[in-house]
Amino acid sequence: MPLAGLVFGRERIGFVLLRREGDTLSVMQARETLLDRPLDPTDRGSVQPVAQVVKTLTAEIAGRYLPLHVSLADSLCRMTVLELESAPADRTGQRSLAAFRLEREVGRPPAGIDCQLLGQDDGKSLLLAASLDEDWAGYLGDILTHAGLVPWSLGANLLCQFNRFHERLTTNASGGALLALSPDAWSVLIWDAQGRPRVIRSRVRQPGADDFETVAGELERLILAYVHGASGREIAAIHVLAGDPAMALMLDRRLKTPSLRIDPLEGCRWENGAEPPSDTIASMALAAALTPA
Amino acid sequence: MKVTVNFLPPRLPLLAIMSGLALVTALAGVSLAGWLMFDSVQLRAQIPALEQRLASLQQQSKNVRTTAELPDEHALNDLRRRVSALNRYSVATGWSAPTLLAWLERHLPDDVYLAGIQQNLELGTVKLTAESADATALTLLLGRLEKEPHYREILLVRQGPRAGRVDRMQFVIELKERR
Repeated sequence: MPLAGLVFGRERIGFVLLRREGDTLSVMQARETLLDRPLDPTDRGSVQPVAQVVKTLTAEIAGRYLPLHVSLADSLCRMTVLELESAPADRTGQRSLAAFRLEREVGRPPAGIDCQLLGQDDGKSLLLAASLDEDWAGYLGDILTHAGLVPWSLGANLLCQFNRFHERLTTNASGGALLALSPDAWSVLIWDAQGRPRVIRSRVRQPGADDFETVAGELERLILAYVHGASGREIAAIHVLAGDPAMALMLDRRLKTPSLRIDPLEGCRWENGAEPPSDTIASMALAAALTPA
Repeated sequence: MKVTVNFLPPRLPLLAIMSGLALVTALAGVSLAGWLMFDSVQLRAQIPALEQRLASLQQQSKNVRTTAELPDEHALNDLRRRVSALNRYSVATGWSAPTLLAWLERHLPDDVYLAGIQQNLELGTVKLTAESADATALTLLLGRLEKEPHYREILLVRQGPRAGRVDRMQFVIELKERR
């Protein structure tokens, strides 16, 4: 069965339709669109035009029943790993706790709350809590509704990429870090020796001369904070997921250690004239499409 | 550990719902089949009694037919003739005797006495025999009869003193009905 992935960035929307054939991903369609102006939940008048853009992008799946996975720019999501003395055993209790902690951090009621129990570490329960900004949830929901689409899942870009390359990233017995760079945001996910996410950060990217420098400095700070947070913590490798080679070079120079680059389009075969996307936005849609059902 | 976070509200467990519906439907089907089988057994148990009752009713029907036979042709013709005569009698248009007597009760003058009355329904004639001490009363009675639209002809057939009573007059009036 074909799989469809739709990704919303701040200014870009990407769509991918693919089929999984063993280890190869047969891509039937890959498109991306740069919007006239950034998505803005306060601009209700933009719902219809953006919905029309989405409709055009997803023309191949119009009227078809396919699992459509939608992923969002990480900066629109709030994700954190809570270290708790004890976590509620039932799912409802875990959700309530996650909602409480996220609301306290953000200062306003979040929407689309979900959580995942990651197990125990040093006697503490690890609970991954994630939510979406309420305004953004309503805004994107309206766009999808007007475009006639019903998503199967709605997730964050970074988590989709982490899942897609999970086996490769977590082969090392130590922890690691993944830096995902999109045209309008950057995100970091640090995992421990058991392959569990421990630190997740995302920021809107500020274009400028010191952009890479800022990202590299923030990444270094996060890694140090994590490693020094408890004994036995180690980051063995930094993986970079970006279409820009300059980013990897900047990181290597700043961190004094070579990073591992991941080709976001590896394992893809392009069908019927479908062309590899020029940007990473479509690769994120690719990762979204591969979200486990 | 892969991350399974989804910002959409939890989906309804569609498979569980469909399985539940299928199970309920299957149970309902089994229950219906069981009830139908039970009902069938009950109906079959009633068959001998109903067959016996049917045979009994058929026998009763035969008995009724044999005991209540129609009369023969001759008796039927005689019955038709009698019914026809009764019908002819009943369709006579003249006054009945009670109606005539009621009329006389209202219109007969006080000093006139009714001595006799003969009514022929088939011919539509009435013969009155009355007596009175005064001829004026006779005239009054004749006048009232003349005004009665039921009669088309009033005839004074006979008039004279009553036998053995010279002071009283007797008269016979014949009336013919209007038909």
